[in-house]
Amino acid sequence: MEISTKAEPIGHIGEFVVTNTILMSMITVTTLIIFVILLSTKKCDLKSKFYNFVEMLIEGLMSVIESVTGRCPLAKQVFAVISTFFIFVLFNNWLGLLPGVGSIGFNEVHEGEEIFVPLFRSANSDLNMTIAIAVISVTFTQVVAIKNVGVKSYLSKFFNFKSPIMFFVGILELVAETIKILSFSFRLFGNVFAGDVLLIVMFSLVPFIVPIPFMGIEMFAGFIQALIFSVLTLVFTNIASHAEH
Amino acid sequence: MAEIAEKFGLEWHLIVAQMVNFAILFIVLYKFVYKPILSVLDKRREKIEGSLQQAKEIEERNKKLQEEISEKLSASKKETERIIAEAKEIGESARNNILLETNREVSSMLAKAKKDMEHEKEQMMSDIQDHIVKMSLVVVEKLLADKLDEKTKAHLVNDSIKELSLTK
Repeated sequence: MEISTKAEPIGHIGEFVVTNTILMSMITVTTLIIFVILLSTKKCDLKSKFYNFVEMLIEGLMSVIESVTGRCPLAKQVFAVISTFFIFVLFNNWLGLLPGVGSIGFNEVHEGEEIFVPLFRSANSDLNMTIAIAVISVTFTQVVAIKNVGVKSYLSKFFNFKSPIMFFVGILELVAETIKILSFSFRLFGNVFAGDVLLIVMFSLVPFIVPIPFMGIEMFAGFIQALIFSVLTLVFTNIASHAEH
Repeated sequence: MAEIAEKFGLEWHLIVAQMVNFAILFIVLYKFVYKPILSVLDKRREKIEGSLQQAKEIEERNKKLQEEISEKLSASKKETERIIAEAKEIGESARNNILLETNREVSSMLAKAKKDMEHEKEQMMSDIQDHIVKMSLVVVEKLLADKLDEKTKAHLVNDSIKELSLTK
């Protein structure tokens, strides 16, 4: 049993390697786009159950965001990105639990020995993926902060020459902001990867019945991780968007 | 650092590819899901708030009307009471007036009747006196007709008349 911490390459487009996690996140995006198309064909029909469900979901997300930011323009500013984070991470996690992910694949001769390469791999169990959305998340926080408190006030948080103590606090803030990328990405990666490993181990020990509760746990964990990722982004953005006193 | 990157298979173009995936999803969701649904939700929220406001206004107006009505009712009640009291007073005074009038009339009638009676009594008394005088004259004449001359007779009669009129 070989568990690799990095995503396996499954092909090339030009000179770029395509890994199985790229494929998986593309599948996620495609699935969601299909949902959107389904939704827009039923948009006129207000009684459509699917439309009502999506509306309820959006309303729920909005109420969560408003419970953090309060009912202000900020909620509308951050809504789109925060809920996209939630939906993207959630679907990545859940689609990674589908049967076939991690088990469908092909054998490849690599460095003299034949190894199994899965065609699909849960997208968030690749650090590239989590770093990508963590960078987006942190960048988004900075952009919204600058938009709300102004460049001068924003920069004064990091570069403060009023007193040596404030200067060091500013440096610490700068470091903390950078570290956020790591904490975001490793938290998500660690949880999803650990979940995958757990499931692989359980399936290899007892292939029937026993892994079912673990599937349930992983579904729940996937939801929680999506929630944590989006809510943390929301909270950081909310804090950064309020002028320092 | 490079070791860690190797261990986790970090490659900048993979990161960019995932970012692009996210961006595609974001654009699609924003254009076709968030924007229309949020506008619908906003409209609904506005509508609900508007109706709530309206309901509040109506309730307030209702309250005001109720107050006005009760105020008017109490005012009219007071007015009615006042009118009734007035009417009672008027009635009372009218009754008193009538009673007084009647009393006066009755007493005046009584007095008149008394006076009439007195008058009649006097008349009767004087009549009776006249009668008695005449009768006594006749009797005296009859008794003394023979024994007295004309002169004495006349004297006696005059005397008695004088006496009678004196006693009268």
